Amino acid sequence: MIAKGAEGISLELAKGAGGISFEHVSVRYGDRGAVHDVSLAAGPGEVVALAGPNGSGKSSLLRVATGLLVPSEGLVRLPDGSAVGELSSRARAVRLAWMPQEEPVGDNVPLADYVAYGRYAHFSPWAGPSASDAAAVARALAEVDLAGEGDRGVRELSGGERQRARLARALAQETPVLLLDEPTAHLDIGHQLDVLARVRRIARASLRTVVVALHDLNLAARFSDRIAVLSHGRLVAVGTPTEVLSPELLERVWGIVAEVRRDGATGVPYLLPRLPSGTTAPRPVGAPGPRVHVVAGGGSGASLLRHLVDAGYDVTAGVLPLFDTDAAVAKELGVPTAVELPFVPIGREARVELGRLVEEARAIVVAPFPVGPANLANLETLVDAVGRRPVALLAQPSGVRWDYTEGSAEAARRRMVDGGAVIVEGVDEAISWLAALLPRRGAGPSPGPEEDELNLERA
Amino acid sequence: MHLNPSPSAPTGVPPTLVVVAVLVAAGIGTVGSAVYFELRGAPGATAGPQNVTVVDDLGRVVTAPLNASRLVVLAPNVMDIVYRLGLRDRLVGVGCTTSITGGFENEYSPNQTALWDLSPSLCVTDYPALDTEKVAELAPGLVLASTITSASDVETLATTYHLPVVLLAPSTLEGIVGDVELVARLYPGVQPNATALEASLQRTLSNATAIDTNLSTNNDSIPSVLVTYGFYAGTYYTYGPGTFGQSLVDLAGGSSISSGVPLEYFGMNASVVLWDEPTVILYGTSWNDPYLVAGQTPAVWSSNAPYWAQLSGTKIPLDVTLLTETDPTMVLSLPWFLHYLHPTIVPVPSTPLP
Amino acid sequence: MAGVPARNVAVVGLLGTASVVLIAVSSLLGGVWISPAVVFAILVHQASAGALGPACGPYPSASTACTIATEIVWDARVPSIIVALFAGAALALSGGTLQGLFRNPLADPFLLGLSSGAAMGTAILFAFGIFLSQQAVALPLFAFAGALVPGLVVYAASRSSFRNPETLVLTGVALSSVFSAILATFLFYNPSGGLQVSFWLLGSLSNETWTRAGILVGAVLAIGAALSIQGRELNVLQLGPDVAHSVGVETSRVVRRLILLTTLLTAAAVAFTGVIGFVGLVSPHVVRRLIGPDYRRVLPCAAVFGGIFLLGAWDLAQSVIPTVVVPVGIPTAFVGGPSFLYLLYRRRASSA
Repeated sequence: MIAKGAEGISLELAKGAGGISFEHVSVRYGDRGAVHDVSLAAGPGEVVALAGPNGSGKSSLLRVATGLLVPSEGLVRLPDGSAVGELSSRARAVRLAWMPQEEPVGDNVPLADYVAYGRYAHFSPWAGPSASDAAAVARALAEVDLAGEGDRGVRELSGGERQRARLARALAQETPVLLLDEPTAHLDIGHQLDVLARVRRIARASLRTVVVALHDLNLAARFSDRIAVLSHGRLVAVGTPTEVLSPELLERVWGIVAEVRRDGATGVPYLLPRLPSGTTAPRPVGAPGPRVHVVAGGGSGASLLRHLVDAGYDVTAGVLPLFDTDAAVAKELGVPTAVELPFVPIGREARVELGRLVEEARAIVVAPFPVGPANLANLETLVDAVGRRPVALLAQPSGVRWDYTEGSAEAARRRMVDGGAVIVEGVDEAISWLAALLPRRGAGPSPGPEEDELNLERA
Repeated sequence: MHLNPSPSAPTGVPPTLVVVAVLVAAGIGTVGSAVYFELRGAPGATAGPQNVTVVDDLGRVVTAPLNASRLVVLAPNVMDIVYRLGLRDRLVGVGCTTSITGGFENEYSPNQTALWDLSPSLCVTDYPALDTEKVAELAPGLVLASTITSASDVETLATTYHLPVVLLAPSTLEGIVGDVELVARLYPGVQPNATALEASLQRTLSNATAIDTNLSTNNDSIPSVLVTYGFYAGTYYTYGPGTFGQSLVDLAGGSSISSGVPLEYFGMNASVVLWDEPTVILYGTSWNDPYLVAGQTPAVWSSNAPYWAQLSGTKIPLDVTLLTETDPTMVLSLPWFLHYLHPTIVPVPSTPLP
Repeated sequence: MAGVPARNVAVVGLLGTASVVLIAVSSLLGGVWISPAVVFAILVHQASAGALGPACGPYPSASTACTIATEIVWDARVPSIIVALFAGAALALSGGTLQGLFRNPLADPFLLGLSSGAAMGTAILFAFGIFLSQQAVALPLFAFAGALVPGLVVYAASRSSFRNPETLVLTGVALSSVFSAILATFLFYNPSGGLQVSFWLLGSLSNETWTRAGILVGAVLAIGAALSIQGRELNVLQLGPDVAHSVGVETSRVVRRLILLTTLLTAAAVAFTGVIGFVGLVSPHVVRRLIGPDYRRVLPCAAVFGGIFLLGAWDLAQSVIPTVVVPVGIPTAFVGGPSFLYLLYRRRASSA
């Protein structure tokens, strides 16, 4: 079956279309189990990433698929119905290609010969390689950006080049299923992206299945159709990256604290790990501090929100449109937020909510958010609040347009300043203003010594 | 273009396969036929009026010319027979250790070299391996050897160079008489000498046997004996049962302390020797040869042999060839052995020890 | 196949020329000096089955001198030369294959304990004094059978679920130690028999015949051919058994087959020549430095080189001390040892 791929690459499939299914696979080393009852199916054209901490069984699962490990239970099935364990070596090698995590370097053979080892199963035992084999080798070298380097000795390659050469060998095998174990391990970021992009393109174009074990979850999210998360040999989650990657899962399986954001351009989730003790002061435990309300939008208030929460204030926010960046930050920080539907002017209910939050707060901080007709109401409500509550306005960055209301926002701000609102230059100054105004614990502006001791918990 | 992954029938037979198959077939064929020829062996010479067919001490059937005028001797024990039968003038080659230190002194004592007139021109290297080409070049009519010549060398002489090789390897002293007879059959011309020699040997053997019978009848003590021709690292080299060394001790009216060990030529643990306390120790001294694993001068024995001072038996030094060469001289020395083992019963022999 | 580089052609040409020259020189060496004119006349005459030239050159054709010279040159020296060439080839092929199979540059044909097994076989023959009258025929048989024992034990071990070459090598080492210990005991208590075994162990190329040469040539051709077509598999095995398996090489079967073939080949060589070291170890390394690591080329070239090496050592063994044939294992060690050191030193310098 010949498929024309993108960029006119003509990719030939050895036997049928891709697809692989793990059926209740268990692997035991002595009494220690490495894989427990894993069932996973991947279809043609699909890239499935295997993710999980070290020792979770990713490599073992891939080895079961190659036939190197015999599962104590279960089997791995291919689309034509055959089980991997029943196939002869040659039959298996034309259906599955495997790139291990590491392997001995071997002798200093020319790169072309090295990649040609992948064609072994395609030769007849007597005639040896043919022109089509040489063509496959050339294509594979081109895919990993090593075209024309065929004469170089393998030992003379850098670690990254050798990694790509190994991938080329697997690609040269031209199998419907590719099993890759950490193919990006020693590559620079350019090649990491390049290699995975090509792998995905090849999978799509020729309907191959790729099962790839990756440590880098961002790469996994970016380049795979589904992610299978393994922990201690068990499959704990399977699904699209968006479905699978959540802070709860990350903490449960990897034990890290991370935010999951979505890349606006691609919709692909990505992680932002949070360090346990950050650069800001650690969040103290105990009763929350005084209530501070933040008005923001469009990302202008993210830093402010974080700092305030870290400083121990009881923060509220609003009114923010749903899916606004600041709304997402607030949600992650656990900050109660008054929301409105996106692209809709702030309605009466939201305004009432805003008013209530303003009344309950002891101070208000306004981030330099862009103002349009939809959220002008935020500023107008505050104009009334200026006399009753202390209000700080963060200075707008110079040269950046923020008023999209033909002057109404500007006017509102001026009225707030006239009414007693303070202008502060940045987040730090805002914090200092707040600290002076509202001591956190009521014992003075600076934290007491006993509170500094309590810096262990992430709240 | 379609890749066919599972090797189906190729379009033609690939040349590599043909070459390999031919080589494998040719190889197996060659091996088979060569093994057949090797095991079949070479056809021997036919017997005729000028030839005689004999069976040597190893059971080999050999056809050799009668009264061969050119004789090569590869073993010292054979030289004694050859000399006594008067065949010294036929000698064209004698086995010797190599020429680094000279010719004969590693296998023949100075007395023997002088007595048998062994000049270096007769030397045919036989250590570490026999110079078979030299033997062939000498074009002998007969080669007399013993088991000190390796079987492969004997095979080469017999098969490649078509030389008659007769092996003399007696395991008992009586066998030495048989060897004399064997040589006489190959040289009928010296039959009278042979007859006389055989008679003399038989007499000595009978006398010895008679004395032995007397000893046992009279319940005289049979002394325990150690016959040793060398020592090394806590062991004494000696003879086990079935060897001529045993035979010698038995005929001399003794009991060898090594008769219980199921080996033929071996090193006996010196502590065991000490434990066994042999009454008589016959030890071989040599003319200070560096090659023989055996023989040392008496001074070397007394200073280096293990437990020498603690061994309480009578220690009799003898020329090592008397203990290692199975030749008529050994038989004719029996009276002295009898004397050493039974000094009170057997008087000192009249003829001197060779 | 791709175009053969000029360098490889030069190497093969050099090896071929060296063989011819060495064969000519070797035929002149021996216990007895025969003039070159006579020697070459005999060679030509016999090789052409009597068609070409006078039988013995200057010697009268029907004389005893001619008969004896022909026997010496054609029936004794030439078979020894052939055995030297083919035993050297066998050892080099075996050594090279085992080096590739176990990915161990120090592997030699006796890695699996074959030398101790062969020594045990001959020791049994000498110790019990059996087959005395047919010892010349029995000795190679016992040596061959003895050498097969550890090889077949390792072969049987490789039939169990094999993944680990180290286990097989250690099995061979253990067997080798056991046999060596038994042999040492034998040598200690039976000095004359022990002496015979010791000499045999040092290796000898004397006393070879056309039939023996035929057996060895046949074995080397058959097994050598079978081995050299496994070159591609050997190449892939350098990446480890896991990768080899994943590209379709039936690793277990290939390993078993190679162990069996090298065992047969080494046992055949050892049966006729005794245990000769260094040839199997050094030849593949020399050849690799000349033509690269591809086993499809290394194995055949190592075979040729091994033959030349052993023949050269045999020539040295015959000529270094006049009238004495030194056991051939001694010149191979004397030449092989320093050459190996030189190779190691050069390799380290170039990879630094």
